[in-house]
Amino acid sequence: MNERFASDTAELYNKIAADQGLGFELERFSAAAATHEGLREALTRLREVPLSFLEPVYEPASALSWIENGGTSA
Amino acid sequence: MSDMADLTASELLGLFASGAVSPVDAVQACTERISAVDDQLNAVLVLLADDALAQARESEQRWVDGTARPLEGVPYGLKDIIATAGVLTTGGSALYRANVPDTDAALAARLAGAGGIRLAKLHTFEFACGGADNRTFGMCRNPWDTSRTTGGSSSGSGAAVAAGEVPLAIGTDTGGSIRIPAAYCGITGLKPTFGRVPRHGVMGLSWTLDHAGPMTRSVADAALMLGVIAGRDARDPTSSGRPVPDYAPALTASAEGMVIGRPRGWFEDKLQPEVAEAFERAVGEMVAAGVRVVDVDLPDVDLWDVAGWSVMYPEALSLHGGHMHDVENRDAMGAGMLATAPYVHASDYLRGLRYRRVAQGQLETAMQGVAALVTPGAISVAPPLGDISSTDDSAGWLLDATRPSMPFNYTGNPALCLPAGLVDGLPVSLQLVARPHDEASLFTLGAAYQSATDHHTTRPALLAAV
Repeated sequence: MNERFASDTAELYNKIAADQGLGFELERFSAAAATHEGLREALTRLREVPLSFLEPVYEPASALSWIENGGTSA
Repeated sequence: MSDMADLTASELLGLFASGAVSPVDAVQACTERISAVDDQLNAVLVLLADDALAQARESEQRWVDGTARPLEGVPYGLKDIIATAGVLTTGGSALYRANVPDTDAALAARLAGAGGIRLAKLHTFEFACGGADNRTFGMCRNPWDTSRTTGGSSSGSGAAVAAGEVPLAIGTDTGGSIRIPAAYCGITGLKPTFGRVPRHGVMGLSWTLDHAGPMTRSVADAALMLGVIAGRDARDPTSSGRPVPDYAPALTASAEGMVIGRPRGWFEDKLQPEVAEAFERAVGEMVAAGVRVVDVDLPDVDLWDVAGWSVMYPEALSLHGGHMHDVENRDAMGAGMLATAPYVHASDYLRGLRYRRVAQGQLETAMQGVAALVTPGAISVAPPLGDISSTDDSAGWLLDATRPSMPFNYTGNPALCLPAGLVDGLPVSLQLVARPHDEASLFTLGAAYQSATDHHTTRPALLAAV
């Protein structure tokens, strides 16, 4: 992975982390990049799932309510 | 009688009631087992033998007096991210190696109040993150093959229960940390419904996904332990206010004719071939026990999984904000997880929270007409420690290892892992998943499976030398 972890990507990762007051060694950036690479395809699909604008959003309350109701939407 | 350290909690309670053995005998047997094997395992971080023996004498008297409580005299261990008043609670980290809480976690207080005897605080991957290394406390090793991982992060709980160091332990599970070590160590592990067990006093990793639950050597013991630790605690506002059922009737209810759904796809796509064969045999054993298995469709589980990670990473970073100045001194996988978080967009985190209700709806539809789902408990047998110790490999390993488990942290459903045989001398398992707050169905199915098979009574080779 380190060989594939291009220096421009490392620089970008470093800038984003630094902007949040964080700093990591290259090894961590490399692990982070590997993880995001592994999740990328599914995340892209997840972003394409339409979520209603007109329905009000109560999260996490509605998910917790579903659990408390025994997994029923009624 | 076999070595008392190999008895389940339910068996011990029966013997205590008859007066055949006493809690003092049980504590001594477990302490001797720890002395015999823990040098090889490193499951115990803090041994509380003297306190346990003193409590065992009180328990002995309660059995004589007729005032025994549900777990009276049974030794147990706690994953060391669970607060214990006056006793070290390290989180598996050098940062908390001298941390002594002044209050018990809610579940720890309940175990003590039920007469359980706290014998040990148990190894955990640092702050309950995945991985295998623990640079502060050393590696925990699998009793079935000490060159292999226990899985984690409830590493010590898995190893200690499998090796007979304690009959009962508490683990925690954010993406599979009860179920993966249960699968790799050949024990029974229950991730209860989200909110069923209060998380007060448990170091967090991701407040939306964190669960605590029993790790035991039988389904009956898991039911017994859940009955003690479940229930509302006002200090955890997400804990459920539903009454805690008496789970005992579920253990003897008939599973004949119950229908369970098999989702295949995501859950079976990446199985080690030998594990796939073992899982097929286990499903056949379920059918032979009178359970009907039907295929169900869950086409979007990959989205549940990625949504779960999109929630977990930012919540972990938020919780560990105070530790980030020293992140390079954390264990590799935990540091890698925290280093992943800054690149999760806020919009993806919020989408993960919103999509959760969509995933729950899909699961609700798929489970119409079935009491539970059945999946493999893990995609492989326990890997060698060396295979997951490099940072680059460990990131991919974690995403794969949590495939069967993370989706149900995300939806909040209860999930039970059961030993389902051996592959090349290493345990494999199956996972049953029920509707929220229907742990009873898991206990009925699991007890039927353990009545029909003896996988849960097979013990690690390490113990043959004891």
